[in-house]
Order: sequence, then C-alpha cells, then structure tokens
Amino acid sequence: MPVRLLFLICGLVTMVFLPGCDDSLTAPSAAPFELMLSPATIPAGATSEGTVTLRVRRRIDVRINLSSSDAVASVPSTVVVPSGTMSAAFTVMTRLVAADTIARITAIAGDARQETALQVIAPVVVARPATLDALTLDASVVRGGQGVQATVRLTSAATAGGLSVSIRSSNSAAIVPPAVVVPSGALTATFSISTRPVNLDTQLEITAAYSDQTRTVPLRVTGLDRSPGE
Amino acid sequence: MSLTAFLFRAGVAVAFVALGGACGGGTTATTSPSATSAPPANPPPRIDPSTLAPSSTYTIGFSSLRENRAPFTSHVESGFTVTVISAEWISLTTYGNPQPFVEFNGPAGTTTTGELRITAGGAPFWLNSTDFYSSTTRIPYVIEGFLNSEPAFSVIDVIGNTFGAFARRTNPKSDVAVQEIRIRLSNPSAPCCANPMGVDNIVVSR
Repeated sequence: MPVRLLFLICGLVTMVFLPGCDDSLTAPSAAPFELMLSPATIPAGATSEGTVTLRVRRRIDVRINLSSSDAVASVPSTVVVPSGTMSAAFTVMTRLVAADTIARITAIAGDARQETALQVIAPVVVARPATLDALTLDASVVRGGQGVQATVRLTSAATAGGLSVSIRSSNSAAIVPPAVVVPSGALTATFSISTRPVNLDTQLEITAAYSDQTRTVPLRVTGLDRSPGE
Repeated sequence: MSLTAFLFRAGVAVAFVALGGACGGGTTATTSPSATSAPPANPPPRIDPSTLAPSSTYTIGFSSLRENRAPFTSHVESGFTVTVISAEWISLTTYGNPQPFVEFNGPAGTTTTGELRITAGGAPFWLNSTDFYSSTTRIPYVIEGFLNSEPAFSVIDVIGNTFGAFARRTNPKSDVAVQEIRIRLSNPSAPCCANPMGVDNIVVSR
C-alpha cells in the first residue's frame, strides 16, 4: 500500500505544484525523448554527433543509457540531460572497417527506448582479383622415371573462364605441362610431373607463374641406382 | 490537524523528497559523482622500435581448443593472448587449417563486425600472416597495430570469395613492431543466409 499511496500523493502534488515535471519517461507508449545522429552516414573512422532531446523540460537530471549494435560504432554508456535543459549531445566514434556496416544506436531511459541507424561507409576497397597463392608437390624427392603430383592454389576462386597458370621446370629431367587451368569457381588445380631416368641425382626447380606472381619449389630426381631418401 | 491536511503536508514533503525516484520513473535522477583521476603511478616505458628485432616465430593455431562450438572469449598460446573484442566467437574443432579454428556468425542480411585483439603481455612483437575464412562471402578485413598505445599501422583489404577455403594473407607491415594487434572482420552475410567467418594460424614473431 504505502508505495501506491506515495505514488498517488506524489502524482497529485506534482500535477498541482510542479507543472513542469513530466513523468512520461515511465510510459512505454510515449516517446519522452528523441534521438538523432548528425550525420547519420559517415566514413569509417569518422565521428557523428548524437543528440537526445527531451519532449518536456525536467527539473532533474535525466540519465539515458546508450548502446551500439555493432563494434564499428561506439557510444558512451550514458548521456545526461541536465535538469532544466532539453537536450544533451554525445559523440559516436567509428572504427575503420573494410565493408559498409550499419550500427543501430539505442537510447534507453526506463521503459522508453529510441533507436536510430548509423551507416558507416568503408573506404573503397575492391576485392583483389584472384592470383597465384601457392605451388605444392606431393613429394620433394622422386626416383627418375616416376611421377609427382603438383597443385597450384589461388588466393580466391577463379573467375569466369578460369585462370591459366604457366608451369616450367628448370631441368629436362622433370617434364611439366606448359600451363594448368584453374576452372571457374575453383581455388586449386592439380597437374602431373613426369621425370626421366637419370644417372646422377638431379636437383631442379618447378615454377608456377601468373601475372606478377611466381612460386618455385625444389624437386630432386634420384639416379637409377638410388632410392628416394637414401 | 485533519486527516486531509496531514495527507496534503505529507504528500508535499514526500513529493519533494522522492521526486527523483518516484516522479522520474525509470530515469536515474542522480548526478554522477565527480571522478578523481590521477596519472598512473608508473607509466610503462616507451619502446623504441628501432632497437628491436624478432628472434622466434610462433603460429597461433588454437590447437588447445577441444570443445566444438564452445563460446570463445580468450586464448593463450606461445605467450600470446587472443581476446575477443566484439561479436560472439566460437571454437570449431571440426574444421580449420588444420582444425581447430575460431569463427563468429553473421546474421542473414546484415554486416557484422567481429574483432580480435592479440597481445604478448605488453611485449613487442610482429605479425607475419593470418589465415582468414568465410563460408559464402568475400572477407573484408582491417588489421591495426599499436605500439606505445599509438597506432603503428593499419591494413585494409578484401579477400575474394574463397567458398569456404582458408586464405592466407601476409602482413605487408610485418616489419613493424607492435604491442597490440586488432583484427577486425566485416561479415557481409547475404540476405538469405547467416555466414560464419573466422581466423586461424596467426603467425607472429617476437
């Protein structure tokens, strides 16, 4: 009882003697304050100014809790509208990101909640076209006359038409195709390296090249009288 | 004194005393206590990067993570600490380069920022490369390095769609010593589908 009576008395007295005091912050249906961002679209790394504006001037400080839906934007945890004033400003900081991102900035006071969107525009960063990333062999030593499987890998999937990677060997003991095509949408392609019988161990290099990227891996072809690893 | 008069007087008194709590509804009608701030007693000594050189290289591969899809908040490996700054990251023990690795999910139709911080207890180190993963999207990322609490470098890039494969990116600023690295991924999930995005094999030197 005492609580209800207190609220009743308080409300009556407030209405009679304190007409400037508004209790609408307790009413979820009413929006007792506005939330605005200026600007509402900013480059990543820039700042925006937020403003909360009360609909009715109040005789007490009004503390409003703030939050951001995404780490791209950060806000102070609270902003206080001082008693007797209508609004308060706060700063929204943003971070550098590589993709446009929308952060929802939320202000809450009691049951009242306001939300607005901040669009953070990333610098123009175009996805790099696929290029050669790696060349790998399934063995680094092979007996002359036997074969080795090789794989080229791209930095991202090949686009329409595929991507042709040129291949060469530093020594005729290893025979490679002149090029291998990574099909459209694929990240890798494999090819076979055949070797000739050799009398002496032969150290050579297999190189894959595309545009300004080259990758070279060593291959040792062992002589007829030796086994790999001897 | 009549009951009415008593209630009126009491009401006035209560109204003024309890104005902030009762009439203010959910708002907190208090002012912030004045904060006293003092300069730190012993600020860390400034590091002169020209006197530093890496001696050993380590790969943070998250190999000690054992529980699949467990919440991931921080991880210590080889003296480096990886801490989640934003988004809800989880460990994946069923995939990786090799498994396990860590990822966060982006809800369908939004771009979600997921961020990790890497430190070595305040010691300087160098970031050599990182493996990035996304299931169905391109991988926009930012790497920021800090030394002496100041920005040392930032790298911004977008990796084309790898369709679920890992893409290794060497750090073009691998010669810059830092005390803190921030890896910030933007997960641009398609309108149809949520998308997992993550990292593995953070190669660092110290």
